[in-house]
Amino acid sequence: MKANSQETTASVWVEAIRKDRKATAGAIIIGIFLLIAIAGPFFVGDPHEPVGIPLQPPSRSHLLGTTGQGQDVLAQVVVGTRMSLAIGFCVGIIVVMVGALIGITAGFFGGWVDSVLSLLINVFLVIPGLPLAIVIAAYLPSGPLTLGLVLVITGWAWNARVLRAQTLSVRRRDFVAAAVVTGESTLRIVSREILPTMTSLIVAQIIGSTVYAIGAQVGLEFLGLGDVATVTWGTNLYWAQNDSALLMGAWWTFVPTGLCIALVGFGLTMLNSGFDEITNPHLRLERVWRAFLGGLGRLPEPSTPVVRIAE
Amino acid sequence: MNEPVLKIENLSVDYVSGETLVRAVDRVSLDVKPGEIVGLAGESGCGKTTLAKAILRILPPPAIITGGKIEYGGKDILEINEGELRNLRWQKISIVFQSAMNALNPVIRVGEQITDVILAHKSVSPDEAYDRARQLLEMVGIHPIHINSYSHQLSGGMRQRVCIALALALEPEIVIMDEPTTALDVIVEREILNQIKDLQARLGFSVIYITHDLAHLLQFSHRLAILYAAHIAEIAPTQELRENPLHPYTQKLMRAMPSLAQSEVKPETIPGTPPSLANPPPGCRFHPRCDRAIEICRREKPPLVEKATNHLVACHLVS
Amino acid sequence: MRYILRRLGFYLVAAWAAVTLNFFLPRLMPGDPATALFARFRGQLSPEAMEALRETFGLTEAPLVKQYLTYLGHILRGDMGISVAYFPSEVSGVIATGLLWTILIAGTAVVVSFAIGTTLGIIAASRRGSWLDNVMPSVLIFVGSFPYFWLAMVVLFIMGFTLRWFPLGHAYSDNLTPSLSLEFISSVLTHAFLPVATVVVATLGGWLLSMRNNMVSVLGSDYVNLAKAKGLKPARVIMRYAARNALLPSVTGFGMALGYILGGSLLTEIVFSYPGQGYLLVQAVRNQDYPLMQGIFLMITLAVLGANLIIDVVYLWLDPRTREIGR
Ligand SMILES: Nc1ncnc2c1ncn2[C@@H]1O[C@H](COP(=O)(O)OP(=O)(O)OP(=O)(O)O)[C@@H](O)[C@H]1O
Ligand SMILES: [Mg+2]
Repeated sequence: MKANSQETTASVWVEAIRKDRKATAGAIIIGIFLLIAIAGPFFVGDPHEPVGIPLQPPSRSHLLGTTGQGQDVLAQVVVGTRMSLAIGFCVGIIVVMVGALIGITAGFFGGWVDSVLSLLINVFLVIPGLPLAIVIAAYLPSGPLTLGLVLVITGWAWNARVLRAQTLSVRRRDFVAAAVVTGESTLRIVSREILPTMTSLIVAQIIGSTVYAIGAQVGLEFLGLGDVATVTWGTNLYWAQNDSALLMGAWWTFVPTGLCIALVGFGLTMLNSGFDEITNPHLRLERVWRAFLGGLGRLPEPSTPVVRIAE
Repeated sequence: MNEPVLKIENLSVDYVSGETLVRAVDRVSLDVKPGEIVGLAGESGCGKTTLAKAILRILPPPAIITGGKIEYGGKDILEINEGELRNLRWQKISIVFQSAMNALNPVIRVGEQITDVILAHKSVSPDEAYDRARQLLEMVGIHPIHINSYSHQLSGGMRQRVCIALALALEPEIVIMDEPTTALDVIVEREILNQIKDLQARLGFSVIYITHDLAHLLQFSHRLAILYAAHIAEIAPTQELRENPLHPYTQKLMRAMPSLAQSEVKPETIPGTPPSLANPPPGCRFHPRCDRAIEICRREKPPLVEKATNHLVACHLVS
Repeated sequence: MRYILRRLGFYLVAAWAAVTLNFFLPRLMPGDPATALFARFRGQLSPEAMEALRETFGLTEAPLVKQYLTYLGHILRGDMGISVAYFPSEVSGVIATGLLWTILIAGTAVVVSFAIGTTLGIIAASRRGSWLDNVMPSVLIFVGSFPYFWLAMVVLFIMGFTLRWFPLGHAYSDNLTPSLSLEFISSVLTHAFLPVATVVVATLGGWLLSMRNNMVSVLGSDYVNLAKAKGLKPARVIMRYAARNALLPSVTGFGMALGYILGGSLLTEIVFSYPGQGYLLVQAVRNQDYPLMQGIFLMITLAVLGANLIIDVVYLWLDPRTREIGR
């Protein structure tokens, strides 16, 4: 029974993604990169190993050329995918969990709890993230854990804000009010009544936060705040900059990595494009209306269109 | 002489909903004569607002007009271009929205919202337009000082009056009023109703007055149309309808009316709920709630037929 | 203006939070803070520098509360200690030199991007189905998916390195001294062009999309439909009745995006060797110059808070409803 209902939700998601062209494209891109992250490293050599003359342009033996240290760029990009995506998705999920915990608590309890938590949320929203992340990361031993930690600290507030607002509006609805009156436990109300109304929003937030996490992670690593010995997209770019690849004209040392970052970010954003419609129902109305007119070979017009199909 | 100014024929309006269409107005015909107050009554969700906005073609997505004719001044509003539409809008036909709160732009002063329509259609100076706006506000009983107010600074009743003043700004031939008094308390409601009546008598415009409250309409409309689930159930002169309602739904509406005269008689309620427009019942749409429904009601849609002079009704029991 | 006072109060709280974070961060390091910090620099720094560092952080034997108060006192006086990398310069002095450049780049970029993106969003929403509506958002979102600094590298590579249309770095030509001469100003502009353009291109899509989405929802509202019913010109309906209101959420978003964009802009500076805060930040990270890092963090936070206050004033002017709050 339980499994069955979960199955249907999953199929609803698949259906939603399949219907939206943008979301389909996004899902395909992300699928390919997940495949590269999981299987890719088995097909390329050791990314640390110097395998040729430094800064060699792409050739048959090194499809994407070599770095300033003579390492294979392709191997670095592929191996970097694994680490960057892993950190990105983990941080994306944790950031939303923290945001949900704080946002839902604030929205559910209201009163002074809300006042205090809202203030905290707003302070973290207004303090610029990257400089804060840098200051924190600089004090901690470099590595994926530190990176994850600072990304969570600087990233949770936005999710908390959105989920707080959502909780506030759900809280006002009758069925929740009724549950509160009948004295059901808070945990039960939140998990049974409130969370289910927000699943779409939370999934959208996880995707959005992953985009944030990958971008911010790359930025910090580029600054040299990551562990420069591990191979990730960010450290690839760090070394490219450090080895003055630009001045040597070695575009191949940074172009492939950047393209991967952008493709993943773009894919996730496209996957999420359908979710805008959750928070802004007008977008969905507009889209179905337009699709219908399009199906009849008509363009949208400013005044209510007349399509004589009822006669 | 008594040719209608506006003739709606078989108008259908649909909302695109996913892959299907929801018909919110289904082959509705209605005409309005000069100086006439036509009432349009029906339960919530039966398509009143949709019909009203369709006349001016201002329904936002996902609405589409799927058929019919709206004749005004020898032309079909459904066939004219944007330029002609702009000339017709407000100069000939204006509208008072259901919610004055949402109808006024919160970040533009009331004065500008009145004068811009005057300036758009008449060749007058901004000063003259402002004078006119002040007059209009006074006409509906608002102190002209509020010309500089924003809508959130006005009370609900004042906002509604501003909307009425706005609708009369260009002295149109027809004013559509979509539940102009909902969300107001009874006293303010009565005041505004009287005001509308006075203004109408003085200025002579036609009114399409929409409400779910039949009692109002029985008092001051000339003719009444009853809408049920996107269909016209019955149309008749008010007097005739009051004395001789033919459709079972109209009869029930009448009995559901709280009558002041016999306050000890409890008003009846109509059992059941209106059907969903996305999935309407076959045959007569009222049959699931009709205690006199017969076999044919479940199968066939009753046509709208004229039973007495100007009294049209769509019911198998009557024909 | 109660509203502005309330916002001001909030920014003061935020600034205090940033300062407090700054104070506690070194103390939250694993182990004993003083020893851990100084262990890193032993041998690298002269005893005087060590003493200055100790002074900066208030890492004395005094109780924590006392240390905290001393620290607050220093910050209030604008004293952020001595830089390690630029010893013996004061942090405040080091930061001050780069601050203007950062504000020039980030400020210009943010304003230009917001203006262009928002305008494109209005056009996209009002020309439903045009290429601007169908294709442009996706293209710009794709461009915006690249890290800013990566775009900077590519732009620099193509326009500066290969085509030699623009200088490769710095804020102005090395052979010029700052003055109000035409030559100097044009040199500043040509040097600023690529960094600004990169940030603009990277952020355009976000503004376009959010404005377009706001417009779509405002266009469905009653007041816009009433404006249409009034037979006003389409341009007036779009600009005065729809865009005016759709702008409000974008302006709020502007305040929140500021910090984020500024972060990206700092990284862009690094690629262009632009002598702003971003460049200092790298120096600070490389040299483990904690006082400088923290000073930059504080300075940027204050700049963002100030910008937010300006945005609040603009919002107040845009939305008459906020003027009523608390009256
Ligand atoms: N965007 C939409 N998509 C699908 N159906 C819609 C949409 N908007 C309105 N409807 C349906 O159209 C029907 C008519 O709505 P309309 O607003 O015209 O009703 P109404 O008679 O004015 O009701 P009320 O008295 O509550 O104002 C409703 O049943 C509603 O469910
Ligand atoms: Mg209505």
